Amino acid sequence: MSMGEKEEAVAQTASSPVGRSGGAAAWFRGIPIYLMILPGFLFFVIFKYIPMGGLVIAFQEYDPFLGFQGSPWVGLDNFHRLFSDPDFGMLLRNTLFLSGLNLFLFFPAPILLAVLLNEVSRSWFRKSVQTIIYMPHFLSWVIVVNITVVLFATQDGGINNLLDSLGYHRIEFLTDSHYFRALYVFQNIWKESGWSAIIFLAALAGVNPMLYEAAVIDGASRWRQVWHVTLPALKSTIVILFILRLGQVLDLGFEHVLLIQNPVNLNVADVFDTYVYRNGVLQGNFSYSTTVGVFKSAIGLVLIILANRLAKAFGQEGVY
Amino acid sequence: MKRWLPVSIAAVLAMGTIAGCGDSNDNAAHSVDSGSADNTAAPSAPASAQDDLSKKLDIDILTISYGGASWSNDSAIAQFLDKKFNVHLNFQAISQDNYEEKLNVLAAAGKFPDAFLVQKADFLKWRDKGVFLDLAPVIDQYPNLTEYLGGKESLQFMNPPGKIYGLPYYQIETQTSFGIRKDWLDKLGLQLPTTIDEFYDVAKAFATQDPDGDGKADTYGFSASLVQNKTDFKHIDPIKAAFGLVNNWGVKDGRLISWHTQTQELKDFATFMNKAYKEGVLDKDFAINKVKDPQDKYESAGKVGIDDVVPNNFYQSIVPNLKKVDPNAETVQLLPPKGPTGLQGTSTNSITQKVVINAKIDKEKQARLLDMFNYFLSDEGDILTKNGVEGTDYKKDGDKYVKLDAFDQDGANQISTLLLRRFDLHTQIHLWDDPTTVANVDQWFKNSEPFKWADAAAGLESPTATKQGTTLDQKFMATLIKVIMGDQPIGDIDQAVADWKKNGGDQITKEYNDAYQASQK
Repeated sequence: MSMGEKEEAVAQTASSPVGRSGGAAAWFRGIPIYLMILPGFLFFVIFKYIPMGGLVIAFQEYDPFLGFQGSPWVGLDNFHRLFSDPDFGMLLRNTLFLSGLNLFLFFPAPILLAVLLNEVSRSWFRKSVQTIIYMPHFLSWVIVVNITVVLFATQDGGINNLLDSLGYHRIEFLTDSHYFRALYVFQNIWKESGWSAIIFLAALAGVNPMLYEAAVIDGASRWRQVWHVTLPALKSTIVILFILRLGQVLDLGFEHVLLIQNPVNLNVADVFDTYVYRNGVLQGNFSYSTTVGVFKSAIGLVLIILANRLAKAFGQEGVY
Repeated sequence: MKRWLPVSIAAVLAMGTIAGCGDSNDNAAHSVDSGSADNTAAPSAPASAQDDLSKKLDIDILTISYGGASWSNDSAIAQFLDKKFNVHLNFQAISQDNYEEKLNVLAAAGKFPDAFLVQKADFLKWRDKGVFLDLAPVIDQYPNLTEYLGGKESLQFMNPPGKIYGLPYYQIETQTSFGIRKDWLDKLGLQLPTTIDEFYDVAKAFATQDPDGDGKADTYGFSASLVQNKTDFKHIDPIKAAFGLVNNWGVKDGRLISWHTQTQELKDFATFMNKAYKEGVLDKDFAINKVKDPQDKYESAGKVGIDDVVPNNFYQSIVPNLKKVDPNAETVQLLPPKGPTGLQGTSTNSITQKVVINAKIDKEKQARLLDMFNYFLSDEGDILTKNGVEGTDYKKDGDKYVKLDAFDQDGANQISTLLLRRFDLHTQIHLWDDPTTVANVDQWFKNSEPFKWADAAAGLESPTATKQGTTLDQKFMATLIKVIMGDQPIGDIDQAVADWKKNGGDQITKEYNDAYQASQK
């Protein structure tokens, strides 16, 4: 991202005098700058654009032992299969539902956290809280999910053993599909909100303290300060991150979802990513799973464009 | 370009992995071409060249792990093989929970190891693609392969006529059977159950009458789990058999039928399991257990009363581990309980896993591998792969053998337990094992032998099953599990059966039956 913005900035400064004084000389003057761009440019071409050629297998009946050239072309058959799959509706619903939860419950969590931390005046307390809530970010999903199992399992889980010894009924946290969505969002918040708060804290660090002082002089309470100073300072960061998040709306953290899936909660837990995994990786239908990937990316693209338009319509700076 | 950045990121995120494999696929395609060119030029060429062992070879082997030590190239057996065959063995074993995934990823990347284990579905899927070396032309040069792997017929199993694409990985057919806590039975004054109703009563007593005497209701009757791709149950085969369900596929009136279509039997089974679940007799976590969890729970926690037991493991790990938790623990074999109509069956394996050699690798490597495989099955190799190297892994003490620490640390018997071994009931019996133990293990196998419950479609092929079977079976299982857990009424099984048939099951049944009729001729 930042690389792209710099490039634009550079291009503008380099080209504005050029417009008047003519092409070649200015172009040569720009050479060191173009050289600096080169590695980033090559990175995107080699690792992002060229591999997109692999998308052709979405239109083939791809066989790894025949390769790209040898595999037969099937046109849009894979897309027909996807859209006529009886599970398509369920997959779309689950994916959008979980994304929605992420967007409306998980996304605000770090903002809230950053605002709260910003209000803490004792710096030792703020720093130690910050350190502790970063920590889970460094645990892998395997560990987080296993901790969850140890705590929440019905037969031997700590929480259920406690409930049982207190005379309550055991609760099927992991195998009752009603708990799945709450569990998913809760795990996300527990693991990532501390880490995601960093960027908002950084934005808040840049707020001019005089704004708060002025607000106090005008008689603003704590709440009013948050409302009129802190949140406006975060606004552009929030919008940009929100747009970026929308682009990944169908990416739900494949590993996480897969690990907490089980045959009983599949009706609410099966999303495009895990569907691709089961069909593509376990059953070797590479073409079909690529098709699903293309479909997902297309949706992500549309959402990004829409969100960006929306942001601009509201007078905010978009991502491009 | 900037305008397209977010777009490209979004687009590529999803595709990165799949497309990333592209380049290597390309290579794979080329090597297929060159491979088949070689084959047509010299059909009997692979491995027929005399290998003088002069060149040091790196050989990759991949197989399924069931826990235990991992391979080390410092181990005595690795060094012995290095000296004897001039090879550097990279022997990798991966958990059965991830094996299929790993192999399919390697397939997509066109990077199969030099030799590896494949399970039935993958073997059939790749068999005719020219990826496995055909051993038929050279099989006679390696006599042990025919002699100790069940003969020509066993080698031919699951292969097209005249081709041998892999060596069978031997499994004892009736390898596991129920074991039960004898000390708990005695404490509660109960007898060994013989029918499924008695089985239930005993299991319920284990759950409710505090057999371990700690004053807490923390024990349960039996556990279960699902097979790794979640298409079937694991560890409760005798219960399924008692209710008349077939082991995947059975023969009825000369035709193959799937257990997915046995509506009445399924309902009986689900009713039994649902009751067990509700009353705390069955492990409430059975649906989220990993494949081997029930056995681990039995031996390390001491809270489960009845478990599916592998007799070999029984004397080597279950007894010693359980003694640590409860010194009085005693496990005895429980024969399969009789169902309402007198049916009985024990968990029964089909020998459908194959050890294959990669067709794309150098002929020198293929020949070296075959030399090694031939050696592993010889008398000397059989002793080596089961017991390790004398002097390091075990030693002779008078007229007896003694196991040394290095054996367990190095997992010196991995070749035999995980890759290739003779068709022999004593696959996991060692030189130093106490003759009574050996006799006991034999007795367990002998006791289960009459209750064989074989899969009638083992080794048969159905293209639809290979392509969609897993998804179809998983859906069916989801309903069955929900019925057992009481989330759905028992009547929903009708719908699950109908859906299974409609969405591909009928086609699969037809294909299996065609293959079955063809194989009967």
